[in-house]
Amino acid sequence: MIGAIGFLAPWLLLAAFALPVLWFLLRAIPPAPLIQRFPGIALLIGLKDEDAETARTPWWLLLLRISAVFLLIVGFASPVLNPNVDDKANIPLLVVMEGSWAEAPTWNVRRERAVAALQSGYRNRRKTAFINLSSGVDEEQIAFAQTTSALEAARVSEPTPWQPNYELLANIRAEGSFEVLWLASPVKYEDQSDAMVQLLANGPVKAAFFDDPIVALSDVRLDGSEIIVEASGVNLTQPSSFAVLALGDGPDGAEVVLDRQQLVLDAGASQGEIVMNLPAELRSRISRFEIESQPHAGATHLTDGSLRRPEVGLYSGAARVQEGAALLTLLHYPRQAFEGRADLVEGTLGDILQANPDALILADVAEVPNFAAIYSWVEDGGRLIRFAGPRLAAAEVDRLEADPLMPVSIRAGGRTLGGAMSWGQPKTLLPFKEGSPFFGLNLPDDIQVRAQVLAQPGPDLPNRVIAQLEDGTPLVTLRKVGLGSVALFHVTANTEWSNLPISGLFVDMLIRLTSGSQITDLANLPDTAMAQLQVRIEADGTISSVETQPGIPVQDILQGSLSAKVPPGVYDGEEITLARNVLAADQMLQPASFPDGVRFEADGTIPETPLMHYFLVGALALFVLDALATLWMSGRLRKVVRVAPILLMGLMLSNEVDAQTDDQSAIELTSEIVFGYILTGDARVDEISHAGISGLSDVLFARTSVEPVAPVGIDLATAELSFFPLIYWPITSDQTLPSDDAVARLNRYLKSGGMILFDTKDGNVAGLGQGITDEGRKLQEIAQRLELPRLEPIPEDHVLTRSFYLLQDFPGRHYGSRVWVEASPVGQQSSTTGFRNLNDGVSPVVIGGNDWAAAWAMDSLGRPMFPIGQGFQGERQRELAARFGVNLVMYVLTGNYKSDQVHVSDILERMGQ
Amino acid sequence: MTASQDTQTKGETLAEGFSPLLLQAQRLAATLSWGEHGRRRSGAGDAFWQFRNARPGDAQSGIDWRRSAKSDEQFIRETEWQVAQTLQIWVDPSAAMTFTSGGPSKAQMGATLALASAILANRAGERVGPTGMSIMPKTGAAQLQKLAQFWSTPDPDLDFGTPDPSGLRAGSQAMLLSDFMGNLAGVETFLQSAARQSCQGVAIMVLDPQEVEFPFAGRTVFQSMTGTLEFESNKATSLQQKYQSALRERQSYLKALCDNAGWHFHVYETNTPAHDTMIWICRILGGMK
Repeated sequence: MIGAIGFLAPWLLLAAFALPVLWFLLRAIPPAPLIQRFPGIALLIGLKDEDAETARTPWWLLLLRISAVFLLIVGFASPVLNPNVDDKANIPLLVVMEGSWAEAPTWNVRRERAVAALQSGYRNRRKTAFINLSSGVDEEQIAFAQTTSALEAARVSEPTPWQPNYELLANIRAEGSFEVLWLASPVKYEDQSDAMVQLLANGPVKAAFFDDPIVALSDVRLDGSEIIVEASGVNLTQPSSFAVLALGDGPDGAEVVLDRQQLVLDAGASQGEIVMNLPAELRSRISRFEIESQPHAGATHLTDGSLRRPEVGLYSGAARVQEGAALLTLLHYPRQAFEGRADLVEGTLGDILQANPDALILADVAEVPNFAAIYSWVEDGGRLIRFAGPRLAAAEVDRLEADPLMPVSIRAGGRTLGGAMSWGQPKTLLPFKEGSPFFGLNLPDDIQVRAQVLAQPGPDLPNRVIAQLEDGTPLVTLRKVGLGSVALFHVTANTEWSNLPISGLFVDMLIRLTSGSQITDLANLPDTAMAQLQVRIEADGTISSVETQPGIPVQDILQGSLSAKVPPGVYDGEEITLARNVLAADQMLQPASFPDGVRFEADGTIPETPLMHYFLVGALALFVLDALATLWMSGRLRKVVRVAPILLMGLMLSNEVDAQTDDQSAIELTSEIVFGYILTGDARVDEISHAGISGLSDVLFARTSVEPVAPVGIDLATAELSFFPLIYWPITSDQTLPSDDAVARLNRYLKSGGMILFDTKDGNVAGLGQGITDEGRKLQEIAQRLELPRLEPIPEDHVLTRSFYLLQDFPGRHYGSRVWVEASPVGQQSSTTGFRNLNDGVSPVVIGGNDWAAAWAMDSLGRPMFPIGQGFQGERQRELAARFGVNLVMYVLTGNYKSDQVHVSDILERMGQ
Repeated sequence: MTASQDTQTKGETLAEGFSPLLLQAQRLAATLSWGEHGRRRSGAGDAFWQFRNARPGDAQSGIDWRRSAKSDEQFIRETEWQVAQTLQIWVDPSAAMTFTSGGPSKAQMGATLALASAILANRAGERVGPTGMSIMPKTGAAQLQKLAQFWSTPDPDLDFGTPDPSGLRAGSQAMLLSDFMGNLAGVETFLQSAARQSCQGVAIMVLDPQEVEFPFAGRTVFQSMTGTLEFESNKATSLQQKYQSALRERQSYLKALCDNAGWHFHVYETNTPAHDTMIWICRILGGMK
């Protein structure tokens, strides 16, 4: 103890006695000289130095070094400012941390307090012990010891997202009385007070840190389309406002804030709620709620499936309908009904079942394919919704034996109402009965059913009808199968048999039938149901996904208190998804309360401050000074000084941001057709590209109605690509690869209908036995990072061969190297007319090496810039190159229009009939 | 130069390690030429020297009839005596010459100057060789290659070099290229021997800029290039003045030695263009006007 400074390892100070020895040692050893090879040494021999004093270390350098070493010694002796001198040094000290989530925001301060108390105790030779009441399943006995073990335990202690287990206090093995420092949770727990009462029996209890403000989310529930978020807070010193965030996956899969609302809470312990009104589309994406700037587990509330949007599979028995007949398809209205409310899955039944949808709609399917798979899916909780139709009505099914995938047996034929050949009028609906899933839906009075299939009468029929017509015949029937259900609309899913599908009621009915797909009746779960932890809430409120975990009985998750065995998070079971949050729905935070006799830590005590790091940093600074001084003495400092500005300059070099395409140029680029070319950085190549595209533009201007303006060079680093219908990209072997950002923009450009013409300009040498050229390799490097479709050489019947001129070859300055475009889909090789009938999109890339720009290039007087081939044949090749350019531009601008035109002959023929 | 010769040269260039030196020297010698070495007396040669009266015993064919027709006397046309000279060059092979402060080493620049002189002398039909007995002075391209190799292999164990006066030919020209940092007794002996044999020449002191400026500071231990000599200074900056005056003293001593022997003395620093020095050499040795 020296004044207000105490030492944890005072014996280290003895090392200071060695300092004078060090002084003499250092003084005897001069700084190392610089060794210099120098032929002029002959002239030096015999010369004398003016002064020889530097042969010894100068006194100030010595002093510097000695002080540095002294600081080191003092630093490692662990000096402490204002060490706590405890008068009850004779009784052991127990430091208790509750370690619950509510302490997480202030954990570092708390831990420092615990460490300081234990350090002080150790310094004063007290027996110490430390316990973290949340630290899992520590069955060990906790004994008091006069060692640093408690100190070390405190240093590594961490908070947990569950509540403290006060039974752990029973593990303390104490002889006689001991003092307790209780670093209390600001939130009250059930046994907190009792535990303290027990400890009070053993000695004094001092409580600290019990009044941090804490705000936590207690419940999130759905009321109609509104989300109600409840929160409660304690220890607030004044009315405060907190931002509550709804977080979920954005369109790109990254987590985004979907909504933000301000929650206002009164001072003291209070409750509050906010209402979030989100579109169903957004609501279903919410994965959790969070209070901003409250870094603890209570401020995070995970949602389970209750806000999730269902997945619905659609499957129709009818053959694929031709384009343009969308309104006639059986699935159009169900698809519209679920638009934005559910994720739709379409395809073959096998594909749909693989996606494991919540509901499956079968429109007019008589013979259900994949019967067994669908049946087991329904038994596991799937909702099957079937629609009737001519096929179902006419199906030759066994009318007597009940189809397990039908709610009722269908009578053959069905009936038609209000038609020319029928007796009755179109029927309307009866109001929904209580018990029907549709109960409470508004019934528009203009719904008319013109045809339906009828159910075989039977004892079960009345129970299964959930919607009926005014004459009592069923409109919708439902039967529970296993955990799921099968429903049947006795009309078609389109407007052929009724106008139900175009009413708002249809939408509501489908929603009601699918939204309850999730089993919410948890009480009905078997006792053996297990679930695995998928996502875990950490003590500081962050979310982490976990590795595969052993299953936990669902009942434990639902009812057991949170612990290391059942941490808060999202659990996934076979049939259910459960979110277990820190606070239960009806739980409200209470401020911690303490029994009489507990002392509170006085405000006046100055906390002890460890000084070790100050001394060590000081010593380090002195050593740096020493190094500089030594360099200076040996004349080497100048070199360092010379290098330093260069290093600094390197650090300060900032990236200059190029000006983005401004609005003005955007207007100019979009008001005309502008073709672009990629600037390669090679001035000659760029010039040829410009001249080439200009030449092509002139040809287009003269021969077609495409009247492009002067082409624009595109700097991939900055330019906005979307203004250009066609971009010419000459590949040079030494051009720089596009940056990640540029690649992203290129991919966006290609996906949104742009086209890039890659030209490796190596058509004269490529494929001549040398393997791939440098340009080809460069192209591969670039193309690897672009999202390109599968390619094939231009087939003979490609639109490019006839979009303006009829062409079979695509020469540029070189002739004959292959030109590649997007491969046509498999199985669509050619139709009966010999032409491709499905080439819907335009190929995003055309790749070749014929050096087209050079063939198109014209100088300012309109003369070709480069010779091609020899004589007339060369000129013919130039003409073909220009025609390819025209065809390409036509292809870019009109897409598969010319592909359609090939059917003209067929159409004319038909019209003639 | 035909293509095949060109290829051959290229091949040789690639094959021989000393070729950069030769190329450098050729580039240096490209714009210069050796003057002719008239002996200031009549003899065999191309240049006109004098007309003199024919004396009995002169060959009839020696009479210049055009001159004789102008008077009654018969005149003989005499030409100036021209002989091929010998140039002997010493490039200091010592380790001290390999010192460099960043640019080309002294040995490199010395050898370049020597070889460029050899090329010029060879072009003028003179015999070139190193001092000493190892390689006889000869003319021809093969000799140049031999010399290039000879001069590009310094002796790493030799601290400071001394020129060898043996093999010095009477009446020949000689050239010394060294930093003259070692003992000057050997140089003195050589110059005396040269003067005795009426051997004229130049001595060029090749210095590194660091050897001129002495830019050292702080506590420094100076070592000779082989490490045999050592000198420790506690404050090298204080030695700069003294060093430079010692250098000047040495240079003036060398100049005095050269003047006594009828030689010329020149200082060349390796960071300056070699061309100026080359012109100087041409003027002295080649009689360039």
